[in-house]
Amino acid sequence: MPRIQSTIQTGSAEFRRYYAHNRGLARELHEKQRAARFDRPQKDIERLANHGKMMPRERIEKLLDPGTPFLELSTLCANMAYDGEAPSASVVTGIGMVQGREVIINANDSSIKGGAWYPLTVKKIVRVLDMAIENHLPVIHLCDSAGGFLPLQSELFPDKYMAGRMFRNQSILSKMNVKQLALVFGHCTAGGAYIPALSDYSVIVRGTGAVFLAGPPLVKAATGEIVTADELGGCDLHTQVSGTCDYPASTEEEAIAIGREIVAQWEQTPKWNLQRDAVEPPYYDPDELYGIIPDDIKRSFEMREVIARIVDGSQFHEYQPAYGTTLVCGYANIWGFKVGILANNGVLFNDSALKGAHFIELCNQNNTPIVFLQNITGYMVGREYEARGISKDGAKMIMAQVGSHVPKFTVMCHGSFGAGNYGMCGRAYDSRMLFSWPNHNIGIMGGEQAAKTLSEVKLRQLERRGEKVEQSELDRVYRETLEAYQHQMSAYYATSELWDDGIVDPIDTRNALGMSISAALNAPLGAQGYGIFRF
Amino acid sequence: MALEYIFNLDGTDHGVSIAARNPELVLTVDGVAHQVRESSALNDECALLTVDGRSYQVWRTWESNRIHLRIGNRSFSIGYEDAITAAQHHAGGDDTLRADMPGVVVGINAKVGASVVTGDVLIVIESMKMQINIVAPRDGTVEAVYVDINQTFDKGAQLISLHAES
Repeated sequence: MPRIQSTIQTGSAEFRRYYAHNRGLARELHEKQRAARFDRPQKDIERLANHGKMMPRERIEKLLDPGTPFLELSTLCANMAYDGEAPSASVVTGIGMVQGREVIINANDSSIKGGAWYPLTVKKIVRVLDMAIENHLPVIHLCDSAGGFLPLQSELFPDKYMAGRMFRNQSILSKMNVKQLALVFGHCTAGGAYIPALSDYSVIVRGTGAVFLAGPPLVKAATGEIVTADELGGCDLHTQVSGTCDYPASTEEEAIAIGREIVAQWEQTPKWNLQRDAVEPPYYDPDELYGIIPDDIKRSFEMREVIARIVDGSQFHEYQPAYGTTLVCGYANIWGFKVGILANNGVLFNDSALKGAHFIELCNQNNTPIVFLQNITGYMVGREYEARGISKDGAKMIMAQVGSHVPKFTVMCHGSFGAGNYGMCGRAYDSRMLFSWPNHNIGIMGGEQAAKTLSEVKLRQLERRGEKVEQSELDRVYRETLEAYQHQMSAYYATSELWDDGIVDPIDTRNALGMSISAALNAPLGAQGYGIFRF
Repeated sequence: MALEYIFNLDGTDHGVSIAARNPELVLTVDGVAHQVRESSALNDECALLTVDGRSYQVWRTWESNRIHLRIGNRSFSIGYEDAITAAQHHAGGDDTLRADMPGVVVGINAKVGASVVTGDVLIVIESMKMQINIVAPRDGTVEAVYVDINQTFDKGAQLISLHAES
């Protein structure tokens, strides 16, 4: 495979300006992640320590195989919700290695409101259990939660993808023979009781672990019975009498050690045998990505320069290099795994959409996973392009992409606007993993376009009603729309709402994708086949 | 006639094809046939190469499309241009830069006759909410600039051209 020839001038003023800007964004990201992981009121840290409890990330570190990486997901979920009261949505999720197997971790963080589930906590747990289903990954639940956050119950309890979905997903996993283990470190209250109850295996810590449908205060209110948490649903009750939990443990460390021995008993199912070549680092330094990504969402950049800093040896076999040039397609290796890449180099035209649809079919024919690198303002608009069928050509891309039986991965490298988000495998399209860069912006259209559209709508409304049109009123509509858009378009808002699986520092993209591809190989390939392409 | 591969040694292209594999490898280099045998590779980096009956100890290291060789106290660097890239170069597509999409010119940095190096921003265009840099794909001299500032253009329009490579 040929190596991409970079034309980046690392000494140019533009490169240096972009570099400083994006390094700043990366520093800000790392600081926000650090705060979400570790900044807690001193009294909460002391409360956990007094109960002999570890922080969730300490538990995870002891559980995972020493020296192996942990791909933490959606660390900044809920960072712009609940006045910042629920960092990481009070749950740590990710993919790690236990006894040489890739597993999903779902760990409550009881240093935040006793590990209570906020609406976004539930959304995050449902997502990670979906991920377990999609990739056939065993799940280890580290339970320590007070249950649903009652003031927001209507946003987390009743609907299809709310709390009940966690237990539905657990049951589906068990039916699929994908194993689950629950380590009960603290309370599993109300719905939370079903997490260990629906796990195939469970361990409970004596003294601090407890599983019950209603805690002591609710029992007293309901029946007048006065009972301690340990008597009501503690370790000895559940391991000796009820059989709700399987293994008793005296300490958290002991529970983790038992948990590791349980995982060691699980069958090692073979992974899908994707072609794997020798791993070679990129020839071009990924650090240069900081100087390539523009400091303005309106500025485009050469996606081959990005590909060159993600793939093995910066080598890329480009498909249809002279056709539909605003969509770069081709084969490359990431961590030695062969992948097909679709990357935006401008707006999508008829030819680029057709090329994309065709290349997606080729990847499926070749059993090659697909990586989408998004920087897209949309499909080309205008009469000429409608006459050529831009809508049906975009539809072909969606049809091919949705019909794919190979795993798909998406990275939001810059803008993601309008229908381009759909064709390029946005959140709705079942990417096995979707990461964003900190500079990412997303919306149904750009902020300026939306503000212009809405102020024109306002103008026509006023004219129809025969009212006087004040320029200041139009300016206000424009300004307020733009501000609202800019707030909701940012990568931090997107990740707060769980529109992605986390923001990554651009230089970590290669490793994040490598781990994701490796994890995806645990699931066999699905059945091949597409819907009807409109020609 | 066997397929010819082009290798570049110190700036000069050489055509190499495989004339025979059995009983011995015969390579045709610039039309001249040579018998080649690699024997007793001493390790990954060093091999004993026999060409037309004469043996050489060869140290080698690979770097994607390039191999670096040391024979005695002389070293060589040989590049291989893959077929896709070669085809693009031979199409002469590098000389004229065209618009991938309709748009408007918002900046012109290049003047006719100016020397440019790979990566120089020659023209900036705007289309569909995006500003796009048109950069020099190689070192060269500007032959013509086909657009003016604020001018709109269609997809495929010529924007700028470089003098053909000699």
